[in-house]
Amino acid sequence: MNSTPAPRNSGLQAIDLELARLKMVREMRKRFDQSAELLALGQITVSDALEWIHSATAVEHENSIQEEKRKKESQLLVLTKIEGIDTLLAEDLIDEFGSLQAIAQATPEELEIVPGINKTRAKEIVKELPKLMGQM
Amino acid sequence: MKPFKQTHMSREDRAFTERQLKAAELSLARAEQSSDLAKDLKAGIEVTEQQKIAFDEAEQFRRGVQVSSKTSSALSTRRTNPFSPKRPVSQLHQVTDDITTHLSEAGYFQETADLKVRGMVTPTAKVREFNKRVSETGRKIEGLTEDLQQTRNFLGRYSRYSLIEGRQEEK
Repeated sequence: MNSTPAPRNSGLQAIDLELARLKMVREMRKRFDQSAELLALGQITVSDALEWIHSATAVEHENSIQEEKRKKESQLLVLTKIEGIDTLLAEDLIDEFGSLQAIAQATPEELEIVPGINKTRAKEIVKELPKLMGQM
Repeated sequence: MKPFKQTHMSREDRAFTERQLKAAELSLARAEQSSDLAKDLKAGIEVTEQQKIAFDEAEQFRRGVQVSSKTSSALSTRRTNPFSPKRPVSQLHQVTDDITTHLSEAGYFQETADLKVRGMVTPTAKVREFNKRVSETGRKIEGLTEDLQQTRNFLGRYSRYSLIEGRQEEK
């Protein structure tokens, strides 16, 4: 089993992500207001205004995808430290239970619902996951 | 009850549904932004229309004063009404087209995701999340479609400007 400890500052990372999201929302609002103003003044065309606004939406959308990806990767990283759990199985566990907390609270029988999780792996998860989460 | 395999979403199906939902959510976000812009334009059109009416009234009144007093002054100069909702009406038409496009795209992706996830049970959390997002997206599409209809009704009241000006974009 890989014994590298999980990052301890996940709470701070979550705050940073939320601040970055709020900043982006403010930026988008600003961009929207500017576009609406310029459009009302006839200084830009509707196509330009929409393109400007929509490109900001696309950036925000991409950022939220990346944020979700990072969150999922950090969960997978914890699970793959358990013996016999590869990335695909870890992903299946997250998709079945929704979070690390929910997986940690599940019984071995419940864990065995996931295809590929046998008795041995289920026991290993029950034994190891709370310890790994304690290191976060 | 269907056998497990028929109610379990494979990894491929989950990835497919995720892509459809993401595409629906992006189109929806764009439709929402355009809808906000339409609200701004509608408010601007109403203000301009009021200014136009006020100017016409002022002009009528001033001409009446001039006729009754028979004085020759600056009042005698007939001024053209500078307030016209033509441009914002034309802009609103284009924004409405944009909302229609994005809503149609969002509806298409949302429906595909819905078809894929329908009848699925496992993986439990993921299926629940997909169902939640499908219905949330559906609700938003419905709301924006109602707004769009209201905007079309609004434009109907200003059709005289669209007919004169056409829908050419002003550079």
